[in-house]
Order: sequence, then C-alpha cells, then structure tokens
Amino acid sequence: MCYLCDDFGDGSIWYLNPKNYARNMYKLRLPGEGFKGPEAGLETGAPSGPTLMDLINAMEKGDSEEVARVKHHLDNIKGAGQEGQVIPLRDAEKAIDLMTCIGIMRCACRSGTRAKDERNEYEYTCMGMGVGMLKWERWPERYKGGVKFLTPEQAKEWNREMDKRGFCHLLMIFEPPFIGGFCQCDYPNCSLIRSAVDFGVGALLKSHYVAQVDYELCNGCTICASRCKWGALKFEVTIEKPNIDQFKCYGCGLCETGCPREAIKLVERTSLPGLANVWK
Amino acid sequence: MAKDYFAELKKQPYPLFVAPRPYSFDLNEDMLRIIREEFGAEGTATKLAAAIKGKAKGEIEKAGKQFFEEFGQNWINRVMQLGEEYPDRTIEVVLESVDPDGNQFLVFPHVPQRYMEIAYLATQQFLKLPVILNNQYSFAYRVPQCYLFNQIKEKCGDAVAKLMTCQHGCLKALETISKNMKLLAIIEMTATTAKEGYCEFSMKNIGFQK
Repeated sequence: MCYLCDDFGDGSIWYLNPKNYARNMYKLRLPGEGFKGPEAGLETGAPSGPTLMDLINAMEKGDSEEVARVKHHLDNIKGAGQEGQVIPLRDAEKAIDLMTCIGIMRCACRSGTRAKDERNEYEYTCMGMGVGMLKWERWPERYKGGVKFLTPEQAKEWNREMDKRGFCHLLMIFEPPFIGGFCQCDYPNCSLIRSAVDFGVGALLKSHYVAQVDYELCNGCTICASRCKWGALKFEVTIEKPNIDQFKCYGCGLCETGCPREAIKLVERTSLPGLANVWK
Repeated sequence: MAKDYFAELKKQPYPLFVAPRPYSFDLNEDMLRIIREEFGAEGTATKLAAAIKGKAKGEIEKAGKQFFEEFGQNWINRVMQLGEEYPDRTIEVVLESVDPDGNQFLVFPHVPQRYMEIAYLATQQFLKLPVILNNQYSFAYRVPQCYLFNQIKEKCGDAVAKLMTCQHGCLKALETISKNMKLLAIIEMTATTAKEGYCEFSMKNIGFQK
C-alpha cells in the first residue's frame, strides 16, 4: 500500500474508495467571504513555494543546497492537482464507476508545453470529475472550448481510446482526499511526468503494479518500446526483445495494453519485495 | 468523417461563451430564508414540545414519530417547490447533461442531493453538508452536531432527544424525494446522533419507475 492508501484508503486502495470522490454541491459563505483556494481559480489554488523552474535555475547555478531545498519541497507538495498516482487501464475502469460529473476538456498542460489548442470534444485530452465540474463556467479561460459531460460508460470508452493512442492515466488529488482530476498524460507534455522522469522530483506516485515481460510469448515486435513514457522499457538488440527496468517502471500498463501477443503482464508491486516500497 | 475535419475545426474561433442569466452557482438566499422561517429548528422543537406535553414515554415515541413524519414530508415538499422556483446554474448544468439517448444521466444523485443540501443548509448551522458518497449508485451524507437534536434536547429534555424521533423527519424527507421523483431507492440510516454523535443517511439507487 502507498501512503495515499494509508491516509485515504480506509483499508483499500485509495482511489477505489468511493468516499474520495464525494463532495457537497453547495456551501454557504459567511457575509463578506469570497472564493478561496481552488474555488477561486486553478491558479490561486496552486501550491505556493518554489517551482520546477527554480530547481532548474539552482541546478544551472550549481547551488547544491538550493537544489536539495527545492527538491524536498517539490517532493512533498500536497493536493492542488500536484499530487497523484499513475493507474493502469484496468483500475481506471473501476475508478470511473465511482466518479460523478465526469467531463472532458482541454488539457492545461498541453496548452502550456506545446501551445496545443484543444477546441472541442474530438480533441480534448483531459478529464475532470466531481461536482466542481458543474461549475466550470466560472473559469471560462481554463475551460476554453467548454466541457463535454460523459456517462461512466462513455467515459470508459473514451479512456480506452486514449490508452490505445498512447496516453497513460493519472488520478489527481485536489483538496485531500478529494480526487478531482483524471489526466491522460504523455511524455514530455505532462508537467508531472516531465518533473519525475527528467528531474526525479514531484509528488507523482508509481502505480500499484509493475510490468514484466514473458520472453516465451514476446516476438520482439517493438510496439511496447514506443509506448513507455518512463525510460523503463528498452529494446535490447542483442536478444531482440524488450527489457524492463522495474525500478523505473511506473506501472501505467501502456506496454501491456499495446502488446498484440499479451507478452507483458502487470504484477502487483507488493508481490516483489525489492519494489514493494518504491513509489517514486 | 471528412479527411480535413480537424484542420477545418482549427480554423474556427473558440465558441464564444455567453453567461446564462440568472448566473449564480450558489443557492438562492431568499429561498433559504423562507425555509428557515417555516421549518427552523427552534420552532420545530417548540412545536414538538407542545405535541408531546403530558405524554408517557411510549406515547412520546409514537407522537414524536408521527410529528416528524408529517414535518419531514412538509419540509421536503416545500424545499422541492422552492428549489424549482429558485434554480441556479449548478442544477441547470446537471439537467442539461444528456446522453446520446437524451437521458439526463446526472439526475441521480445530484437532484436528490441538491434538495437535501437546501433542506439542511436552511435549517442547520453548518455551512456545507458533509457528503460521503455521491455516484451513480449511492448518495450518502452525514449530519454533524444536529441543531434540531440540540434544540429538542434544550426544549424537551435529554431523554426525549435520545429517543431520536427526529430521525423520522430526515427519513421521510428522503422517502418523499424518491417518491416524487419516481426513483426506486433503498433508504437507510447508518448512524445516529444519540449513539455515534452524528447522523448518517444513505440512498441507494436501484432505478427509476417507468
């Protein structure tokens, strides 16, 4: 179990606990009280303190004390869409059943990293959920192009399509333990994946699984190699088959779902003693 | 789909967002005030005290149940009536969300949830209802430090409050919502203020009547 399960799981995996998706639709404000936190807008809800840019600057200056300080901060950010976990498609489908107000929308990361406009439901790559989605019109700049609400069945279908295209799935905590975002991510466009892979920092946890290759079934087609975001799966020319570095594997399962011969399987992280506590 | 479908779309500007009117995502304060005046906890506890005056313990339980069943039904009917009269943008978005067959798939749990949130926010002292489940299968919530329970305790005594006759008000409200909405639901009370220090109610969706 990861620390999110310890904190919010009620004895099970934290994202399979339906309580973590529940929230009130309304609240009363005391006289004169305005909007606070994420309700006031995603920017104001973002955690304060040093950013990835500060880390890069400190690395450039060679200031090892500052590097350590910023890394420590980035590793311990709580909530506000900066804390989450990779989940494979199989768990994503179970999680979708527990969600309400599932809406797809433009991805904020891609608009920043690639200046990519996602203008309509055919282009959206981000999924949000929870009653906060009912109030998206409050932030028209964030949700340019609008939000398309989906039934859980439609959401599962959409998610499978995203998986097929090569996006992995990340569940994000907004205000602990409330789960408010279900990102469809890829490297290098997702800022969380980039922070983890390129700089080894961030509050993104590896999934409860790791990938293993069945060399008897694998025919060396290399499809899996193109789907790994984490630099964990390499195609080894000598054996003409892939090799997975399980310490680097985030257990997103893209290699498993992409394999035409079912030669890659996800196994429980806790079943491998050396990896049972490797979450970052 | 035309080959250049996405290319054509990208040439179009973003759809201009026009805010609907009235444009509030919050509950209407006039509506809450009306419900508070008619069904406030102080007045309800005073009426209960009058209804059970001079009665023995067994009779108090029976009279309390009857009192609160009637109260719960009137309370939620008024909430539903005013809830329709004072819509907000949050519930409009719920009702505008339809699947390809035209079904309003967010009605459960969000329409019952809205009614119960109106009902409690108008009559309790907390600023938000602690919702512990809301998905396509279940709606469940907690009532912490119930103001009505405390008022009953103050006006009718500890022993009467601990009989928890007030639970029939909340249960009846949930039953009335499911009846009025033609919703087939299993309604349960899973914790009580007298034992656990808070009340907890759940509504499990088993479909809509045809």
